[in-house]
Amino acid sequence: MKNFILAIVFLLGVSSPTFAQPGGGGQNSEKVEALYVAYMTKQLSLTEDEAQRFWPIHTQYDKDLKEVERNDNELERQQNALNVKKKYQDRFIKVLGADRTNQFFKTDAEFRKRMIERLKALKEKRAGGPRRN
Amino acid sequence: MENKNNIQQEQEEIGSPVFGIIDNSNVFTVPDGYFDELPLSILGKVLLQNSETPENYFEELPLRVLGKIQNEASVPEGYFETLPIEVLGKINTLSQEQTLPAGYFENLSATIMQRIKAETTEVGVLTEMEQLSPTIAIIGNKYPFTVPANYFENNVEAVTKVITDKQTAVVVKMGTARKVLRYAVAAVVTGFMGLGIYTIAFDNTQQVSSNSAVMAKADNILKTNSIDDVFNSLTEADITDYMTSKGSNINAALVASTINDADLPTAEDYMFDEEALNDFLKGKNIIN
Repeated sequence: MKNFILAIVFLLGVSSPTFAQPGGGGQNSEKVEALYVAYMTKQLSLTEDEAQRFWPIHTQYDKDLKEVERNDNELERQQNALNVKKKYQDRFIKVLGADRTNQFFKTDAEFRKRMIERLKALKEKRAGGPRRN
Repeated sequence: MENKNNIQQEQEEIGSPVFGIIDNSNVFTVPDGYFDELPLSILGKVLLQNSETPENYFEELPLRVLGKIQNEASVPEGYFETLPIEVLGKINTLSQEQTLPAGYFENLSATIMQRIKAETTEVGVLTEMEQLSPTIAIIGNKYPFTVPANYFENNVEAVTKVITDKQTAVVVKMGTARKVLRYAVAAVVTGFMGLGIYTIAFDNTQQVSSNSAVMAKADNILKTNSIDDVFNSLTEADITDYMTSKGSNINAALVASTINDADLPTAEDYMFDEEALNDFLKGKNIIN
């Protein structure tokens, strides 16, 4: 009986992580996600065949990048992010070629920058224009 | 000279009358001119003794000694040639004297056993045992363990019979409550496992559907050529959620995008107002 209870406790422990919600996501992020895909597809002129090969790699890349983004140590975060990018570079090159892989990293950064700019603008707008001391 | 008197007086005082009696004059005397004639007299004595040795005594001495040695230590002719043979002969004679009776070693063990039996009788052992341990002596020299006839032949059968006869296991009846509890626990465990599997599977399905939904939307954006429109329609929540889902620190990203050296508070600003940085960030709408 004791073993039985132990087994249940163990099983609960094993299965509990499955109830954890996957971080982030939802309708809001899906909208931006779609925009990102559209933006990339247009900027990199991805063909359907390329897109089919590119996005699965990108999904994996995104996941790895998300892991390193959690680091609070800024230098380490940057270093690790760079490592992930380097790691995936070859795989992207196989689909896009060197030039367009380079273009991808640039476009990716650009998209992110535009998001931040937009967010900043929206925050300023909500606060009634930029405040100055 | 006074010392001389003192010594004599002292000797008398310490009680050595013998020495005291002796006068302090020399007690040993030699005839007159003794030492002058001593060498001559010694020489005369030596010569007197030497005169007894025959002439050329010392010249002939080594020869004489050798002759003596040769005479006394002489061995018969061919002594050393025959020596080994003689020694062997002696040994053989000795061995013949010590020959063993025929079949000595063949009968040795039997002889020893006979001797032992003769010397140590059964009575002797029992008597010894009585002295050492009376309890064991009671047993005597009889084998104490006996088995029935054909015991070992029928052994397997007998043992099997004993085992089968006594193999009645204790039956413990489980209470109804305990039975129900067991089923309940089993059901709960199955439920959890099922739920776990379902969650994993569902999560994957959701991800796949989410991906396809994103792809469909992206396709739609491209088809309608509405990238800029969608971009302009993004809300704070859209971007915040998206960035969070990518693991980004939005505030850090905002600060990084805002930093413009000219805009940053100067050292003086910090000196006058410790809230300078906070005010700056508020001004940039990064913090509220």
